[in-house]
Amino acid sequence: MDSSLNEVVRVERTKLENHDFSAERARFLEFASYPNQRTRPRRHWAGAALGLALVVSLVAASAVLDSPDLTFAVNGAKGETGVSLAGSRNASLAVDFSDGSQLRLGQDARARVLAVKPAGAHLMLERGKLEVHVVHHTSDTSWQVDAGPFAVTVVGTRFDVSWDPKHERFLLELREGAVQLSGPKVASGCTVRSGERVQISLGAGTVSGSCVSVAQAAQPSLTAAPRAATTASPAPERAMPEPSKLESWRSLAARGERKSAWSRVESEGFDQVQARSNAADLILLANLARFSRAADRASAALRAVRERYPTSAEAADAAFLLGLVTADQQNSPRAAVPWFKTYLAERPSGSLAREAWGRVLDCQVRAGDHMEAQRTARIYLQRYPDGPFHALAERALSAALPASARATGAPTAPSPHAPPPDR
Amino acid sequence: MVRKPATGLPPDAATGSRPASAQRVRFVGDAALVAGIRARNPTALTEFHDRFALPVRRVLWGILGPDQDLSDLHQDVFVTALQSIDGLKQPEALPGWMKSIAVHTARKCIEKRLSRQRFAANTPADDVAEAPEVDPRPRADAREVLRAIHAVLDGLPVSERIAFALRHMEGLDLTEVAAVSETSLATVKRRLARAETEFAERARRCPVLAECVERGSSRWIRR
Repeated sequence: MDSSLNEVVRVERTKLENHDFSAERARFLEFASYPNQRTRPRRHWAGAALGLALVVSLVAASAVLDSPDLTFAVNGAKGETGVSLAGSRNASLAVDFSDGSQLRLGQDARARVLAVKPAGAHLMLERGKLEVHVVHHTSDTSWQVDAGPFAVTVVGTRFDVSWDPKHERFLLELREGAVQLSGPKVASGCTVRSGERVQISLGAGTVSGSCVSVAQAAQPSLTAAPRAATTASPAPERAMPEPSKLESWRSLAARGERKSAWSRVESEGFDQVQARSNAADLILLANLARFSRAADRASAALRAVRERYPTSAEAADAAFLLGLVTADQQNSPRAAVPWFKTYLAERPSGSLAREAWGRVLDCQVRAGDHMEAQRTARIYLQRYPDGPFHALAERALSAALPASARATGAPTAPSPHAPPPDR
Repeated sequence: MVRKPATGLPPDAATGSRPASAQRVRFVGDAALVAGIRARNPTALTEFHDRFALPVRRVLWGILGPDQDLSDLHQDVFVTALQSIDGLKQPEALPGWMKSIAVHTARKCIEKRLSRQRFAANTPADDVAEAPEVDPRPRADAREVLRAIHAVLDGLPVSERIAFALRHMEGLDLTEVAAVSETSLATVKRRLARAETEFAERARRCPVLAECVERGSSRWIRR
């Protein structure tokens, strides 16, 4: 053993500084978007303790003034709103409510009871499968289960709902009664009834089951999901009112009104908008063009970033985005590789580094460059054994190769001195 | 119930990155940031997470090691903080407050596992943090040593384990350990003394760690 324990710990701890927290950030912001997150009065972390007695008196006071909210128990122990509920890897988790309603979290599932009411509760399924049995008592019975961008509103029924955040797959199976479903790809006023099933894959853009109209099923995903798993959940597209004629394309884009924003850009003249935009706006403009399938304009905006702001943080991001445009929208995976490698050369520890390595691998596989793909696969698995492209990397390494394509030599690493592709 | 969008600006679906114009706003000082969090300001929430993501992760990692539940626990810490932010009386205490929540979350995780009698120190190989850009041979050895360290720590009482991890894995001084553990300095010293003695004894019996211990790392051994 060459290093002492403290040196081992120091080196391993340093790796944390290179961790990409974008997925964690997206997950936290998703939770924070829920309104009415009750502040938990049960503990003051930094100062004097509030004390159990005060909490009890607060609950008692609330009970005197209103009908009592439902209570629930988790595997027999008293449950608390906001606290994560998790099925273990080997067993499910039972949650029993005081009105007789029940939940069961599948293995490795994770959820929270966000709020309880006298005749219902608001649940959040973070991942996995949740079996729900809601007992209908009164006309006020109302439960809601949120799973990613989907919301299931329940009045009295039994159903299973599953959400896979990594692949953005949603599954709803009704066993008894009926529920209302809302979310991307779902027709408005959707009611799913006993025996029916709805399956939606946002990443793959596929839908099956009731409540998905032909028009919505055929609509291409405006979130432009990559060929492999995404690292962040996209915001669902919503129908928006006609924007004010005075509103800029930037503010329209900021509200998620991509179509309207792109229409405004085109009405003002793309070249004029591009000419007066700074680096950040050029990136925004390029993304609008990408989502509007205007690959050439997206490419132009991104090249403008690199030409006019070569030392900016946006310049490296533009290289990455040029790779996406070239690979996915111009269907030239081989030509896209140098762009991803440019990003890696300029930002080897950047927040997109893992995605860039994955994209290099994906493009090499698509282009049939087996030797290069195997080299990249080894690097990828060494660095990101759990990354979204790990399955592709493993397939690339295990695929049988003709003798002429057998991998030799050291892995290819992007040279910091390599010039960007000349386009 | 209407859900508000998570932020004022949409992230890029493919990259997860946010337009740079959303990152220009900064909350100067902890008081302004805390006020922004309480108001559920999207930029404040983003800055809140970005500022404390690494410190929180380091505390969790220090106590639990390269555990496959770190991401979930990371979320739990920030959710707890968000739900409890109104109880933070002194905004300047925000950094220490976040570490306290991280310690508490790690403790609850350990206690829950112990109660399930499934608490296992050695994490699967695919949960270790990303590899550095160097020769993989030391990395494989380092992973083994790290697992062995946490296997030994698993045998310690929870409070002593936490004191040891905060002091030796996270590198906090004794005053900081006491503050984030919400206990007295004297108690921390007692816990740490017991933990170090126990750790040294157990490490000597562990083949992977015995060699390191014999090489005389004075931080870890009480002679």
